[in-house]
Amino acid sequence: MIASKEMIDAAATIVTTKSAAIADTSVPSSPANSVPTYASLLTLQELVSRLASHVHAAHDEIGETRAILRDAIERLMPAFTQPGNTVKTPLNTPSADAQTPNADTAERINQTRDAATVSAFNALQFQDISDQLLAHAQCRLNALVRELDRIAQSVEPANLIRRDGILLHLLHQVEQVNDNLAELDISLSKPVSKAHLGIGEMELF
Amino acid sequence: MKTILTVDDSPSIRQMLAYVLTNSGYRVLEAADGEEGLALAQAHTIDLVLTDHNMPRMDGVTLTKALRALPAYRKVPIMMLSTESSPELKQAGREAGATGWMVKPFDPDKLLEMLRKALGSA
Repeated sequence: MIASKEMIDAAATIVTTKSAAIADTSVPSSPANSVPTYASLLTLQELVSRLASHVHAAHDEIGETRAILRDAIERLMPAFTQPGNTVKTPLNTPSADAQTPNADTAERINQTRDAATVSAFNALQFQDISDQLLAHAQCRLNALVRELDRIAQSVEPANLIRRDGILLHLLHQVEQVNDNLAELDISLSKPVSKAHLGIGEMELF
Repeated sequence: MKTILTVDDSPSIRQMLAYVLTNSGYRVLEAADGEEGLALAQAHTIDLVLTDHNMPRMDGVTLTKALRALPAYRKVPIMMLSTESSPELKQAGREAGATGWMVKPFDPDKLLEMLRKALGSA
């Protein structure tokens, strides 16, 4: 919810009448429905910092997941692409012994292998696709950490009690965070258009 | 032998493309992002460019624009191979001068068929 001008004006009125009392609050007292007290600001700041910490941890865990997937694929790919995994026929192995399959068998094996490789390539592309989605999620989490840090700094009591318009300042910050998150939605495009691993469409312009 | 430049930040996708294209008789050059792709394109004669869109440093649409600005690449087919398929992005690709758009995951046989068509129409 974006703080409207009316809300900000109302807050400013409250702040005008109460800010002196707040600035002077060495012992927290918080009557219901009044402006935030030193103690409640501390609680809010702690809460926001804790949220930021969890979001940051989720960002790092996604990073680890991406690394694991990347490593798994890097280890798996050579099994399909390394040269020399083609079955040789007696024609191209002059010293073929009794164990060498005949040309028909070798061709059948190679065809089966090629078909398996094609299927594997379709499936193995999941890593690239999921990596893009995970990178996208990390972008969002980074932005959330940034905005939570901004809120945490805004409600830092030591900063706030030096100001006249505590609520006004808070509402401006909330408005800024809202705007930033709205812009984030616009700036992040959808990186993956498919929800399954069926083959994507192809077109020539 | 035709030379294809593949541009993708994913090593596994580059490896798959190299395998499929080399086995079909193409020479393959690889780049990990648009900037590297542009440098390779300027240093070699390329018959077709196959590029991803989302890459660090320079994305596929920007690479396409940069290549089309070079006299040697006005008519060289540039195929986009991306996980994205939004109409807006495709339109951006088309306006930049891309020859076609393919959505991942790709099927090797269909990819080859599309590349042959693109090379044939160049």
